[in-house]
Amino acid sequence: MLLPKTAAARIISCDVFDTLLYRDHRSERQRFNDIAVLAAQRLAAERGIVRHPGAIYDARLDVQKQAYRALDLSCPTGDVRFADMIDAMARILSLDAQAAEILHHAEIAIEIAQLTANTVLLDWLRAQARSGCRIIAVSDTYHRGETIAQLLAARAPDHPVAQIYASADHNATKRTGALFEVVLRQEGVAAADILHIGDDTKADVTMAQAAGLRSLQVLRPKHLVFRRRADALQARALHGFRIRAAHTQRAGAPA
Amino acid sequence: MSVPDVDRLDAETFGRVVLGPILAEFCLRLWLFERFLQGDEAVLLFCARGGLRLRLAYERFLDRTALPQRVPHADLMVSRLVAARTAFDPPSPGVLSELEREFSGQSMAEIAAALAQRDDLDLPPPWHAPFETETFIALLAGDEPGVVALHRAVAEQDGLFRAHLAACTGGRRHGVLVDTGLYGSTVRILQEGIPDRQWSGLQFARCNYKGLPTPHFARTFGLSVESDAYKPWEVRTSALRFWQLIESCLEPDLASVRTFTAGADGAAPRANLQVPGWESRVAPEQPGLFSGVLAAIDSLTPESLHRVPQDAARAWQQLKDAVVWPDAQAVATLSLGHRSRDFGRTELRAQFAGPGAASPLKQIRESLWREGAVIRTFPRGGRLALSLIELIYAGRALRSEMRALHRRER
Repeated sequence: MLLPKTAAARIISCDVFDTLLYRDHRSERQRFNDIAVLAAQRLAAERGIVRHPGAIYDARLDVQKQAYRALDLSCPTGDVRFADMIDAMARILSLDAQAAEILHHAEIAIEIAQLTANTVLLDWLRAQARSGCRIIAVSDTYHRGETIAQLLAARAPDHPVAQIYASADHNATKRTGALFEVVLRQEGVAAADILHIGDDTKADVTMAQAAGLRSLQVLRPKHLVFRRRADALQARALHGFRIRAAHTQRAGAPA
Repeated sequence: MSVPDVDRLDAETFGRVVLGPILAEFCLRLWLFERFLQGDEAVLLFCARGGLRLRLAYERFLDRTALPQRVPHADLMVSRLVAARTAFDPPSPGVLSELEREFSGQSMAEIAAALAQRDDLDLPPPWHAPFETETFIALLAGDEPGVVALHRAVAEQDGLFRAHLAACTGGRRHGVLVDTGLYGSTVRILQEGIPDRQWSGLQFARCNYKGLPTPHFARTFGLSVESDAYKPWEVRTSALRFWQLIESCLEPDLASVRTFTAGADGAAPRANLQVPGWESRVAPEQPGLFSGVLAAIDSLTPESLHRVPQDAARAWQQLKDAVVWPDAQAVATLSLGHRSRDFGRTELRAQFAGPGAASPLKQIRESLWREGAVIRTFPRGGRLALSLIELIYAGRALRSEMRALHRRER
């Protein structure tokens, strides 16, 4: 990762996922699968509720897919909130509010377990903060700022981030430019005074520059991108087998 | 599949065991979509005719499962013919491509008669030539009395439809059309004809079987099926092998929407479909596929909601078994009678082409359900022919997937 010696900016704005906090080689599908397995275990252990991990996984995928499609049609600059997805998942999985909390905690637990701190970037940011730069995090995510703070605290306890802007809190995303407008308004600085760092070409480079910010792209290695794609295929195939097995089991079960 | 053997089912049981879980899954996805629509501009418009039954099933689903409704619902009296009138003067690209496809080989006078729903237009002789896009546009610019009458009739009907639409939407500007599918012509044409409103489409299936441009697909989704063709390895696409089964289940015994009449004393205009007692005819009077669907939905509870996806997965496999690999019993169970050609016309198309067709192969090719026609025509060797058909479809689908992959790589 090539970072300049000094940021030459009053504010450094940083993307969170795959920038401040690295995700590993696991795909989103695999992560949802891991969440579903953990949630199923906890539902059984803590509430005596039996839900097949495949059903939780399907609900997670389906809720997210329909939620973002509905968002695209009704408020394309906004974002979905995780709490709403958990509410919808709980309803379609016939779970009460306490069980919904278990779904929520399982997701956060897996997120924390599968994230690692980008120590090189965090060290550099700490140095910039010591020389008077304000560090903020700006993320397109269904998680609220307080959840991002929880993830950062768990993986990078001495992080220098002073403020978190999450698209779910402001119903405005980086990928449409709307979140950068919120950042500029709330920080009260000129766009040229902010250096934005992130991995996504559209959200973190194109749209940041369109908003007048300077930008710096940090890319994950290509082999990781390929591994994630392969992992997604594997997760899809394994899920298919598991669901078929569950059907066979259920069809053969005594009435 | 061990539960239950679809080959021994009557239509109502097939509706309850197979189509019921599939439509319950559709309702679940529709609710998810409705749950996440933001703002207060959206209204779900259930489109005549298939959408009317989708609304009945959906609202019963919400009632049984205690899922909350968040967006207003309304019945929209619309058809491709009605939509075409909104984008007729001048005709939009969507209207022209629909006309070219639907009236291939027919005269422009027949198109005019369908749009105006009048056969006394007295159009000049050039109108009696077969449809040709540029000629049609040029003829529409004429000032002969017949052409003027055509424009007036279309505008009058369009005005009545817009008044009906305003009454349905109640000031909301985002119409989310809920319909059976496939191409979503109505969404495309309404986007072109009434651009000051936002339009989206939520369909049971989305499929560009017409091979036409798809500018509306960015805002039109197939909640249960999204594919341009049948793919043997995607069980849901088996619905496309016998689409008329879905339509037949969901379309009530009511006329397609063709005309509106002004309401009395300031009431909203009424469509020809809205005959006295039309609401009660949306629900089936006789046991059949849709009464089975409603029975399946009636059996749901908030506590059993989590089983909907799993039951649907089983039902999709059973649908494929019945539609793609039918036996004589399945053919008898799923015999539907004639289907309307629609778009302002009254002709019907038979599910199975009659013996008047030149050869058995032609009979099969001209049937709405080819696999069913194979078993009817060749009761003994039919299974072998079905394997051959499946192989051909697998080859076509693979070729199409490879082409799509190459396009993406470029």
